[in-house]
Amino acid sequence: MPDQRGFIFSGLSLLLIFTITLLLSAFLSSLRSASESSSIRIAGRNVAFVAEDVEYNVSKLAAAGFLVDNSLLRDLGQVYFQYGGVPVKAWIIENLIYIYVGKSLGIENVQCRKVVSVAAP
Amino acid sequence: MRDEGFVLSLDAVFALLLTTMLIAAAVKLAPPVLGYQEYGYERLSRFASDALLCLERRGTLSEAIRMLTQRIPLPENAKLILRENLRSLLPSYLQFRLDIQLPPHLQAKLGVQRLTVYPDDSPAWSATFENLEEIATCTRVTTDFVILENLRILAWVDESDENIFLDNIHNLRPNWILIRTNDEAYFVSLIGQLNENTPHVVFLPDVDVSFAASTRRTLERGNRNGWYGVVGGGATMLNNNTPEFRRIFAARLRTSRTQTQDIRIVDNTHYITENFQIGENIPYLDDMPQYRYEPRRGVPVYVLAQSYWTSRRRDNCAIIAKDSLTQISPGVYRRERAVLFNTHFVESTVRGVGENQWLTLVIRALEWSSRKKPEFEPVTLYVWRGPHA
Repeated sequence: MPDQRGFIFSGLSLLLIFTITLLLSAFLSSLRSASESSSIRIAGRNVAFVAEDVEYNVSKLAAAGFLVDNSLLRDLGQVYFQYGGVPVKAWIIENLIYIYVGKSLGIENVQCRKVVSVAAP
Repeated sequence: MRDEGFVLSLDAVFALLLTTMLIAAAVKLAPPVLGYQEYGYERLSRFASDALLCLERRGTLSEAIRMLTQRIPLPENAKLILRENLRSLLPSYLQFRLDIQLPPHLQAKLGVQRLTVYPDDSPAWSATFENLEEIATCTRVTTDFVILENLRILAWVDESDENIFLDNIHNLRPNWILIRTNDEAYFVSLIGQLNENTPHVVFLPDVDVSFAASTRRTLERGNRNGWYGVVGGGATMLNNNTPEFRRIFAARLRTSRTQTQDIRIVDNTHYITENFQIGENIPYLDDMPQYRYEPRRGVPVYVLAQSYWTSRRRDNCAIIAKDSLTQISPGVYRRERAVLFNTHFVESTVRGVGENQWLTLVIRALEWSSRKKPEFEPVTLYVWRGPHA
């Protein structure tokens, strides 16, 4: 005689299981979103912090009479990338220094742009 | 004949679907970071960045670096002020480690690659740090390591007073490499090309000879290429009143006078004169000549001090600083710097008239003229929750 053991779900039970599954999925999804937004906030703050530091340093160097040109800005950007892992691009056009700091977080990107006015080189 | 196989009932199909959905949901959402940990880390990260920012803006970082770069470095004092400031900035349940990467010459001097500051001097911190699970990191870059400590200066010395003057400079800047010569062939060999022996500055305190045309051209070319700055004074221009020297110093010699007064600072916004007051007198020997120079038009120059001639009461340039730039590609420049003094500051210093002022002015002129660039070094603060080690 064949084995006929098993479970019998009523229609209502099945609907309940579906509902619980959906609710659980929505809850986990909200946790994930919260986690992602926190990561983006941390990365965004980090990027803004680096951009502010670049701005501070180039203003300080220009005020101290150093020649702030693309060569120096390239060297400065490399230090940020090497030690902080944050890509920094900065270039000078006339007396304006353009600073771009950006970081990729999978499908999201955080970036900060600044323009600093210094004495023309 | 055996007919083996599986029978999938409709209920079993539902169960399979249900299981698949649950597994898919679990796989998709498997590694959700716990909200508490994430927000806790964000807070930790903010503490790190804010504390480092405060260290910089309070001037504590610059002060610590100044302690490291002075003639006799004081790393323990630097650690102390950094530690105390971090202790006051961070709550007591947070521990920290601050790393300041040192430039190569300081690494050799102090025997360490970086200055590391923990909450105290306990050796246990190192092991604690290696085993941390949650740690926030923040990095800034400091430009305070403007290394003017190891300048290489080529000085033309043809009088004993100049040797005494250079000895005085060496006492104040013991790490400077002062190359002294009055051999023109050797002089040209050092300034003719850019390599590790090329000086950062050529110092012509009081040249009593007329250089050969080839020497003058070589000097001008090196200065124009930004290989070195030139600092001159005394009778240098008088004995080399040529187009090359006029271009190097961006000034033309008009006349010389011996009936002179002290010179006065007229611009203290410049690096060379920033330690002086506007109108401050720099005492000068009465019996030594001063020279009257006219700055070249169309070349960016700063007149930092002036002489006041007793007979004509007319202003004259006493310190002329040339700061000329040539664009060699978009956004990349070459800098020509030169400083010309209209006085025999060597004799004045050696005979004790305005000794300290002249030394300060000349040292800062040498620093400003050098082709040195700022050095960028990272400063990293690590912060974590934990008990005292």
